[in-house]
Amino acid sequence: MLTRAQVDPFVRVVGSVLRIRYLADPDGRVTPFLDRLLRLVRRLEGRSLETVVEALRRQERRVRDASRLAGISRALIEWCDFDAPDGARHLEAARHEVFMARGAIWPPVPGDALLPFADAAATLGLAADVLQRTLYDDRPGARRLRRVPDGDGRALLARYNLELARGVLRDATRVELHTRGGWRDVFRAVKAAGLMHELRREGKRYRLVLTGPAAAFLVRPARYGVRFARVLPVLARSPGWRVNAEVIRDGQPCRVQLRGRARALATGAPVGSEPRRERYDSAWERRFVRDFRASSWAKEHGWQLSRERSPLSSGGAVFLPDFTLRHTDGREAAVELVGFWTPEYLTAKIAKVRAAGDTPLVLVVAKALAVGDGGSAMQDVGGERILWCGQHPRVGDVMRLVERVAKAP
Amino acid sequence: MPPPVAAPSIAFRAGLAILRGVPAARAPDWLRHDPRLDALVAAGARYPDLRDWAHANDVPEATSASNVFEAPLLDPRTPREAQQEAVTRWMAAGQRGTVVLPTGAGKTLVALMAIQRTGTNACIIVPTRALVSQWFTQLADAFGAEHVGAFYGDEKEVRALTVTTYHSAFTLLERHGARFTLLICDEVHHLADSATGEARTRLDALIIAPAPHRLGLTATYPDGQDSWLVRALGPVVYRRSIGEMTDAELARFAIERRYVDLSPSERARYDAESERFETYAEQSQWRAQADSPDTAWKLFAASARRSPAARRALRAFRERERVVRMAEAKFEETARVLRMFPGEQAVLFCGGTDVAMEVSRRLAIPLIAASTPASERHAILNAMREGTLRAVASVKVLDEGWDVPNAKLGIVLGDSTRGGARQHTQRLGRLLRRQGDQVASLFELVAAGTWEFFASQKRGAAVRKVADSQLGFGL
Repeated sequence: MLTRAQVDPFVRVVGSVLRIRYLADPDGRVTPFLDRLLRLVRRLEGRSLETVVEALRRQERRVRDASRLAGISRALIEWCDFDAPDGARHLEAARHEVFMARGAIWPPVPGDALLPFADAAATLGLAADVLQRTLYDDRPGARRLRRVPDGDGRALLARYNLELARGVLRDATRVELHTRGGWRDVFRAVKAAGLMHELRREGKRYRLVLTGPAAAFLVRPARYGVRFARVLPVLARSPGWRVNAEVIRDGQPCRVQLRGRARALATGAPVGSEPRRERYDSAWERRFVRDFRASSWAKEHGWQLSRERSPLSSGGAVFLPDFTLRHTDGREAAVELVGFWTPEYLTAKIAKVRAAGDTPLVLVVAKALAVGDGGSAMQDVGGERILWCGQHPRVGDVMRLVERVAKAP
Repeated sequence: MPPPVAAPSIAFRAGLAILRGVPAARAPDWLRHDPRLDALVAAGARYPDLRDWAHANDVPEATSASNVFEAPLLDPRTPREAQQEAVTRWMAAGQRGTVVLPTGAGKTLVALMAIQRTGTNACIIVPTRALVSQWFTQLADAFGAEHVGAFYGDEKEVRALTVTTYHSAFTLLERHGARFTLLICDEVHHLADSATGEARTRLDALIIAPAPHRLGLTATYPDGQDSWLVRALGPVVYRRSIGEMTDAELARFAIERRYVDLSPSERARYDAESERFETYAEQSQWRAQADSPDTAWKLFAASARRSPAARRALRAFRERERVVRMAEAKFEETARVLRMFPGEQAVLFCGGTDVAMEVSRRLAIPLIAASTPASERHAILNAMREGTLRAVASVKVLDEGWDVPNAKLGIVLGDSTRGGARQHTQRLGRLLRRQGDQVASLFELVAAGTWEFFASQKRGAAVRKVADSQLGFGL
């Protein structure tokens, strides 16, 4: 994450709105410079983090704004993979041996500097002066650059802009997330961050409001800002993402809106990487989608399948079904496919379906995919929104149940 | 507000004291409705009040845990009169408040006695990772290692007695606050009203913690700057000054300033960088652009963002500092001082990680920095305590709170605050734990003819106050 010194110069408050001066490339000179930084860093593969940092800092002479370069450098370094140099894992033990040896040869006298290193160096097969020189090569700054990502200057630009946006969220007190998909990953990130969330539906879309549990009572209400910022990279992989945030800047509350690539492309300042295409959780899911698309029945009856994974509120928890089926008349129903299952897992799922009340939700369970004992007993568990199938669900069976439960939102 | 429908109950969750199922009209007026939970809430620190109210109104506790801690205190030390009195006063004050004792007067034993007297689980909050290791060891020695956990960057183990840093305390208490009835805050001067930025937000951990009993410890209480402290921990319940305890409790000390010369090449470098920096300062007149030196410096540093000339000047300034910090003669003089006291354990206080690492490599002595792994830090501190290691180098980590009673020799190779008084006093304090008639010695190594001379003068003025209160020794 960028430091305040790397973010603050590119943020200004106009009235009560906070604006971020993203890095754009209106005259096509920025991207080649970023390509050049990437080439420079690629040449440094195998060198230490400290060397890479210094090499990037030296590019200051080519830029007008040192804070911009510092931020880009940090975004680039965090994009790369570094790991400990060879033999680093032995250094802590070697140091212990060296220091204990010095404890026995005390006090240090002129000419005995390498004496305490001798035994430990011999154990590692090194000369004493080499061990002396590399004694702290397991420090963070000595980590070696192992891999620079394949991306180009344009990708680095988008990544830097996303880091600027994250830096702004560090001072946020309340955040609203909007996206057209990718909810599963977003919820996972929100949960891991320990944030409070409220899900609100607006027409066909959803809005997730995030707040810090005890923010209202704290000396620094924006304390949860770092957690909001942690969610942003996950959200930024979702299609059509948008964030409305309330931020405290210089003690004053203000608002900021962050958007993904769609808007940013127009300004030449992409924010975040390309939205990721949602993958299927299982071959089972993929097969159902293929069967549905191949089925003429669904199309003839006006049904369409959407992989939006629109979230549902269910008994205080949030439930993310696999698909949403929408009819041309506006009715819709969510479908959750249960692949391999244990009785405990299925019991919890069914409880969630029941807690969802009259929410149009269909649970499809494969009898053949029960794991362990007790599966046969569970197959008696019924309900008008639970469909038991054999190895694979038939589209017709699922759609008949969907027809029964679907309703307009 | 919609009428609550849940059964009445109270709970602590995520830093909040929560009351469910009771209409606002029947609840204490310091609770407020939280639409996210559809419940009445207050900051976690009000949980003891909420629990009292709940008991009086037959409202059950949804998440109750037993926080009783009954392991015996196995500390062979006999508490001194000041320590006994401090604990007695703290108990009498409702087990809340701050105890102010000079460095070396045994604040840790006061905390151990407080844990034993309250008989409850305790969370101990300290400023640095090195202090986590030290408290961990002392608690393990006193109550048994099986009862002690540490919660910070490297480790996250919650036990009946858990040590954490101010940085990690919020996360610990947000998740596990209900497990601790006693909160012990070490070096509470960090929570003074004058604290700004990140330091100020350390109070947040105390605001969400549901622990009813709280003990603050410090040697340098921020008088007149303690309104937040009083609210979070209670007032000062016991105080003894260094003057009241000298001879009886603390070691006497001597300070010596030793000047070293830069080598010819270092001098040439120093002069060249100084010239570059001063020329820019003269041309740009940045020193005259603000009322205070601090503000002027901030403006100069900010100008370096857009101005290549200012950037070059700033780099020259930093290089000049590095030359002084890494002066060859300081390493030689350090070895000489160590040879003067072959029987003493020593602490080398350094002005930066680069110099600490260099002295560690040259003299083969261990280094404790912020990035030192927990296991290594623990091993070094233990070996120092056992006497198998004779010296340790540190940047800021060992400046305060850290305790190796046998270390009576300190060598200051530089400071990180350009003459900061508190840092220097705290460093001196590391050496003052009384061990028989041993006298503590603090050597300051100063590069002659450089800015370090002025930093040293500032430090000296601060310590003179302490020295005046002791007999026969001083600058």
